Amino acid sequence: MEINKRYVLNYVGKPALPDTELTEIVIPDEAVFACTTCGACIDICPVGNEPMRDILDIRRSLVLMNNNFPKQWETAFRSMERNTNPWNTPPADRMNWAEGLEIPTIDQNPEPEILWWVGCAPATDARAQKTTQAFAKIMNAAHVNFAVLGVKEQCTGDSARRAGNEYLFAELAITNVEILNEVKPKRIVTTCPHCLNTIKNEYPAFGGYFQVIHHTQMIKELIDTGRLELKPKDPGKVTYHDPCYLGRHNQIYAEPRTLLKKVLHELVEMPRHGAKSFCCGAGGAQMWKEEEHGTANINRTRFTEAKETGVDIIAVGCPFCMTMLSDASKADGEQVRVQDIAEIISNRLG
Amino acid sequence: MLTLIEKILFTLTSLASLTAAWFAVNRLTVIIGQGQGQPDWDLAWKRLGRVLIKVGTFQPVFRFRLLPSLFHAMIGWGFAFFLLVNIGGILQAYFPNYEFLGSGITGNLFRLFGDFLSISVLVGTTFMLVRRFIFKPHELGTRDSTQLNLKARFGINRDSAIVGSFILFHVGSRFMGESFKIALLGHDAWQPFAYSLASYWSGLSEWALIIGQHIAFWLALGLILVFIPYFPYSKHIHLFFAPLNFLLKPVRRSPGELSRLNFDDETIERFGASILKDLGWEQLMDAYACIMCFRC
Repeated sequence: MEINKRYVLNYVGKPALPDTELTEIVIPDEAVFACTTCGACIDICPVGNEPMRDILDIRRSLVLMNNNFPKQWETAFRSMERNTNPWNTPPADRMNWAEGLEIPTIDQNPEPEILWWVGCAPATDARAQKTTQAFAKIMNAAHVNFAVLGVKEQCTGDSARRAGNEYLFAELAITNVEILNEVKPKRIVTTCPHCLNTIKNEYPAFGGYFQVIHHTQMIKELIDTGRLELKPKDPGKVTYHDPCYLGRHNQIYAEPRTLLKKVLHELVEMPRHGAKSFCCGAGGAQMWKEEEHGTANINRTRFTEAKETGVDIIAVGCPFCMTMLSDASKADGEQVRVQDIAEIISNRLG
Repeated sequence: MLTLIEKILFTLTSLASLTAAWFAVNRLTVIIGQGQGQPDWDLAWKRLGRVLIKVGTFQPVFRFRLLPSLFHAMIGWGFAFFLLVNIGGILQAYFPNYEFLGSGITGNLFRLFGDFLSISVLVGTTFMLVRRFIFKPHELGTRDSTQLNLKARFGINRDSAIVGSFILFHVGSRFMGESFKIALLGHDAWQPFAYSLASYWSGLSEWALIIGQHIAFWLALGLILVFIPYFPYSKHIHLFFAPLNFLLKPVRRSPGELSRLNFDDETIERFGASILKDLGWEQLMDAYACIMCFRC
């Protein structure tokens, strides 16, 4: 894309930029809509370029000005507009995951030590709910004074923003910031890197300044301060898939690994790990549509790389990664388990 | 060293080259200026030290592709030093019997570095050209299905060939010139490589060596004058735009942090980017920093 831009700029006769659509001369709209916003292009560029930002700016124009976007995103947009989450789960059902568990809401516990922003996927997706329940078990085992927003929690708008629907994102962000500023949390912990990224890095532009940590950082803190005890290590082998929005976007690499090394015998790294991690394929609103045509499925490519390490478990820290790698594992006969770090830790509580 | 006619000719050629270069540079600053927003120059001052270290050590390059990064560093460090070498060469050419940086320890070290870095650049450039044009690794290209500007597929290799050849001839000519000078004036312990080459000229007459020196000067510095106006059209302008990128990139809380759009501002007619002018100045500058390495 940068090469195409340069060649256009080199050959334009006068220094008056042409009015030709970028999707005709720089990058086709198919490629624009294929981007998972993993950030690898920004991370790998040795000269500090940011191709992903161009792609997202083009997406914004296609969505906001031309109403041109993949049809499947319509459902996600409509769900966020009507039910404030892309799963279209009614807000009243947002706490269904907490049935039978001791999960105080902010109305019940107005001054928590930490506010737990659950996230749409962990709250409503059946598989991700197991992560949420595991984390709840950990928080209660450590006697953390926490609270959730409960039915007041709505989507951070990450998928809307990454899809280019900035108007929808702004609506969600403004409301969320109002709610959070009323609550005045000392700190926020999230069970979703997309929520973490949006609240921590993008809500400040809407007047929301919050200290936000990921659930793996919370768990590590609880262990380091002696509030959580673990059983001896399990003899299993695990590999860790760095979620793009935890790793590359927020530089959180160490804490998940530290936790895994505390509970499992062997942590094996994939060739592409850390900042070089390969995307699961769900970011950039790809979760809500079929993959654009290519030479291989992203999630299956990543799963194969993980499986080739010879591990029993693929550990993840993101509900989107959970979905994508679990799907790939099922398609492969489920020989390798995919688990969130919270689940792995929860199974080793002393 | 230069005759009066040569001095006049070189001066006029330099003026022509710089004028052509000025037009080319002016063109691209006007292009970048058409992007949205303005750079924050205060950021550049705050980041200067860190960026000098980052760029000087080629840290972002060394993250991937270790062997090519090593040879790229050999070329880069050599070429950075050659700025001084060329200034010295021009001064010595214009002022008879003038020894740039003197014949004491400073001048000696200058000639030593110049000698070693000449070889470093020549070896590095040869490796890069052999890699690109003979071994043709797949990582230096992209799939046929990738939409790449039609001029780019051939143009990138052509640009590499031009610049690679320029570097070889420029540095090689200067190196030859030094060897002719050593053959004329005698052994120079601070230029072991040039001295080795000078031993091949022992059979040449004094006039042949002087003519050789002059030809080497015109090849070395003349090529610079030809190359300077081409530079803004080449991917090798990343020499300037990569450091500028690091100095001026807006502050971001995370790599993907997006800006808030103001939907209440009725003067804004377009949201997002549909044409080049909708992109930010930093996004247009990215095109000039791009080294077309295909990593992304």
